Amino acid sequence: MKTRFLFPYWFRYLGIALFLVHVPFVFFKDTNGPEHAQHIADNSLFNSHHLFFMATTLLMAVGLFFIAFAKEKIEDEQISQLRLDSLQWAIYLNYLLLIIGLIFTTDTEHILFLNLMVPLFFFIVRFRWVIFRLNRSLPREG
Amino acid sequence: MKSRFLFTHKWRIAGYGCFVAALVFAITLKLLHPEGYASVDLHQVVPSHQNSLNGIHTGVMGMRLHHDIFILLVVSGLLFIGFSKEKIEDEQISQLRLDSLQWAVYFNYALFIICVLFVYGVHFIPVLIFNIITPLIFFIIRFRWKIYQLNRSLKNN
Repeated sequence: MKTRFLFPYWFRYLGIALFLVHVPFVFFKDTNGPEHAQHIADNSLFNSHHLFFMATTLLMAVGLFFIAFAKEKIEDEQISQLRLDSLQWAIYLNYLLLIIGLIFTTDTEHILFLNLMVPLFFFIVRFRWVIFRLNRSLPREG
Repeated sequence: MKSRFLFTHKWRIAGYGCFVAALVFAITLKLLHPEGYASVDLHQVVPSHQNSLNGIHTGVMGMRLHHDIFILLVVSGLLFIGFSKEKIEDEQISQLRLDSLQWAVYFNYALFIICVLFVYGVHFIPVLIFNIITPLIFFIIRFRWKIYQLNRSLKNN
């Protein structure tokens, strides 16, 4: 099986860098973020709030995306199998959490925003964890 | 390769059932409340200090319940359709499934980034809501399309 649609290995570091850049921005979100922008009359594109919102969301989404879908150093069939398995698992978990969130809370807006990054986040965590387990089991056999 | 975490084949029918239920639910609601809850909202919503969407939801309990049931029906229906086993589940099918899933996630994020660039403010909330179901819809369409192509090429050979 060939692995398709993947970024080269160094995109992983690019992704981590983008994600780290995004973190300090989030701390300003309480005073400046998109939730408060609804009360501002100026709803046109590319005002300062829109630019801020674009910057944070794009840095976060693209960063996580690059981390998640960069190639491994050694990309074999087992790794790509693990990747796709993890992706499916992450989608399941995401929808489970989404449903639970919708039933038990009223804070819909934050749930929707979380829904953007949670699948990629779960995917990365689970993929790393499976690879970690694989690496640990290999030396014992060999 | 074994395909894990999949529903059995008959869950697909349950998935379509969920869709029919959602449709019936929507139609009955439209018949019972022709103008929707919109007119109720205007009188009952206490303007929330936090954000407008919360105000709508805490203001009218019926509206909230209605949204919940609707989203649950649609999402579980899509999950059942997308992740139920095929009648003949072999390695190629499960490969196609996972390939399609990855493709759907890619496509969804590409669309999402375009939306972030060009949609803003209150108009962004529908984008977020659609973002719940679009990955599953893209996945199902692409998976079905691939299986259709596969079947056609097998027949031609």
